[in-house]
Amino acid sequence: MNAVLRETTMVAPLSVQGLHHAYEGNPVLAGIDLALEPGSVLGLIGRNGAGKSTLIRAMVGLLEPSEGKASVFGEPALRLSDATKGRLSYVPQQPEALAWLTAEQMLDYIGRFYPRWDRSFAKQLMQRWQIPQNRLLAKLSPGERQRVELIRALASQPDLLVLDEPAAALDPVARRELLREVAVRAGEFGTTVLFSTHIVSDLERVASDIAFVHEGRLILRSTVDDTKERFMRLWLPPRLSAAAPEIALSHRQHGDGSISLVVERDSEGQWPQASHLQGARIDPLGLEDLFVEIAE
Amino acid sequence: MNLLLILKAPWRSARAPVRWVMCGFFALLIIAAACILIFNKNRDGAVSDALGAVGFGLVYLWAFFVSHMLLMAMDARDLRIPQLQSSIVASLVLYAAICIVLPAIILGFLGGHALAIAFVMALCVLGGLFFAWLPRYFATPMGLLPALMIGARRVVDIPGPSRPEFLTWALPLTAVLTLLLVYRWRQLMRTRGMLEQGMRSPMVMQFRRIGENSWGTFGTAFTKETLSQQPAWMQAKADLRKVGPQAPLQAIRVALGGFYMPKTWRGILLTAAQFSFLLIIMAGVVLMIGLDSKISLYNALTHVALPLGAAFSTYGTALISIVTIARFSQRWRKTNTELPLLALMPGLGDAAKVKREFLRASLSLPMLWQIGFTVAMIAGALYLQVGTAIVASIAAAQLCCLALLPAVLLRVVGGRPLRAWMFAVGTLLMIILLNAGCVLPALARDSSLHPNIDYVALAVTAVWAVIGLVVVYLGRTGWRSLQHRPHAFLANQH
Repeated sequence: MNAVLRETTMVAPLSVQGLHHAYEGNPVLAGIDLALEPGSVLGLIGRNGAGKSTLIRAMVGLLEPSEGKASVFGEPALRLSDATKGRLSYVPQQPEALAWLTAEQMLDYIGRFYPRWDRSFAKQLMQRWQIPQNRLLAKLSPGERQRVELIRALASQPDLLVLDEPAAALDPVARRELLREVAVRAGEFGTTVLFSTHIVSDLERVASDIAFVHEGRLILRSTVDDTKERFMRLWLPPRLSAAAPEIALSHRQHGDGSISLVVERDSEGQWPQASHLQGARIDPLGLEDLFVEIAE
Repeated sequence: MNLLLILKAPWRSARAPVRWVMCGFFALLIIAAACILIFNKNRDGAVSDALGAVGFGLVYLWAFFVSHMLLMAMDARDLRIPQLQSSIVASLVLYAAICIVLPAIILGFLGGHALAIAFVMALCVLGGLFFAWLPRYFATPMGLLPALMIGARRVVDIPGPSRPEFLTWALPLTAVLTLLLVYRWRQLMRTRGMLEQGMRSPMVMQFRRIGENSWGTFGTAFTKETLSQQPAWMQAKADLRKVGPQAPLQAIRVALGGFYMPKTWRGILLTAAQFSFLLIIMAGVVLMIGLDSKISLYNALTHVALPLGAAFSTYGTALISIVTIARFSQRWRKTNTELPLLALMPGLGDAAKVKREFLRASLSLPMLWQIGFTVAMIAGALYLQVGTAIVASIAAAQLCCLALLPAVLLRVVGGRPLRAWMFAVGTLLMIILLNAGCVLPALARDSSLHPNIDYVALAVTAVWAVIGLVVVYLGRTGWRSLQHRPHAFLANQH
């Protein structure tokens, strides 16, 4: 019995293998493999149009990818059972669902379908976040609308919380509150969280892991701490440009012939040899700098 | 002012499929008018019929094609493009003059009364613009006008173009319509199409948005933008008492919103009140005619109320299909509305069951109305004894419009939606056929004046039969696609 229990709890809450997708022939996802550890908080980062939302939608079964598999708690994402759906909460970017209901009606309606729905939590959070209960969702501001969706997602007490740019419409105070709530969920209840964002500071504040999507590819997947330690910017003057390491996350040639590269420690934790050359310069990279260097 | 710009303005203001379809349609009617003039030995009848054909074409040409110049003028104003707006006004005046004067000269030369013909053409041009530019709530009653005119002429003396009294009402009406349209033009220029949303916006604003991937605002009756503009008292409240996992059908209806949403009694009355204005107009017209002591109530009912009801039912069936399809097409393109919610909501059952429940929820209510309209139409036609051919054309039209809804809906939910422009062209064709169908029963009652009406009805039925085959094909492919989809709530993105 215990063996069975352990096996079910060790199943990745969310995983994809060999995910490919294209819109009108333009590739959006190009072979993505990704799995979330139970209880982890994975921040998905990338530029606009990098494929983050498409990846998230494919992961939770809202999109049929051209190729590849996606599973949620071991079930095919496109054919989830009611039990698995009950463990999952997803909030899309700029949610607009059920605009004809009031916030109170919407939560009442949704709550009837989730076995672990926490009515008192929903009510408390509505009051704390000052959501007008009897106003139509259509008439709420984008920030208020986003917060209603977050309450909806959190009140179902999910084991897996998937948020697509949850902080986009929120003011800094509301953003902090959301991040705190996410951290509490992950820390105290072991909820697995996947969220996409442009805001790197949010990632640093709450994520345990980071995944960087660029042009439909997953070019980086690591823990946040490891990412900060593992990468740096290497600048080489023109005379040393030939010594640039072949493997680099980004490579930029400047007008004077010098080059900048984002390089990674090798398996023994050493920087590439070129970084030790006379005249070479190394700069530590914060997450934001790393993001900009790679994405540019 | 650049003459070439003035000449090309209508052509540049509309999308390619619209301009080609409308010009092709108008050319067909011109050819038909020419054939009538060549082959009909009765000179007066030929001129009258040719005038009808050209006028019919002009209404559509100005309503669906030339009216687009308003959109270009709005853009010119917003973008501060010099001279373009005045060139567009000049173009409108020039083409209106051509459309009025040219038929008047030709048909006048062939024996018609040139001045009367000019006023008929002017009314057609203005009527087309009136439909396209006035608030949308005028559009549906305008669709009923042909049926009303034909019916009313039996009980009320409305002098036609062949009589000298025609000018006594045509002249002031032309002046009033012109002034109204000038006022409306200026108003729309100032207010940017009445903010482009809601029933106060002109019909032509819909044409702007019907493009490759857009549906205009035909399907936006209950979207966030539209709802946010409505005052709170106008909004019907949802009745959630019977909603839950034990009643997935009701749950899906809540998620579909609008007419589908289970409402409180107050909400039902509110919705009914908002949509009963057409019935009030119809009842008012019949009452006004019935109050005339020279006309019996029976005559008023059979000659006015029945044709009006028939036109209402004809457009009703088609409009329900068009609006519902537009609504679902838009909804199935959005990834941030109800699709993710429904796709991931537990308690609705397995995918096959949810597909069934969804189809039941989405089709039962509109199709019930459509079946009601169809039965009423066929019963009315049989009661009026309009002839087998006409009944066949009515039945074919109604069945095609009715079948269109499930067929295209299956395509949408099955992941193979029609391109918006394809649907727009198909809808235009259907509206033209429906309008022709509205006139047929009335004409059939004057069989001595229109001896070939049965052949026309059979031709219309044949066209509907072809459309029916296309609809069946769409439904079949849509059904197969839906069977292959893992669940019903996958958004349609390219």
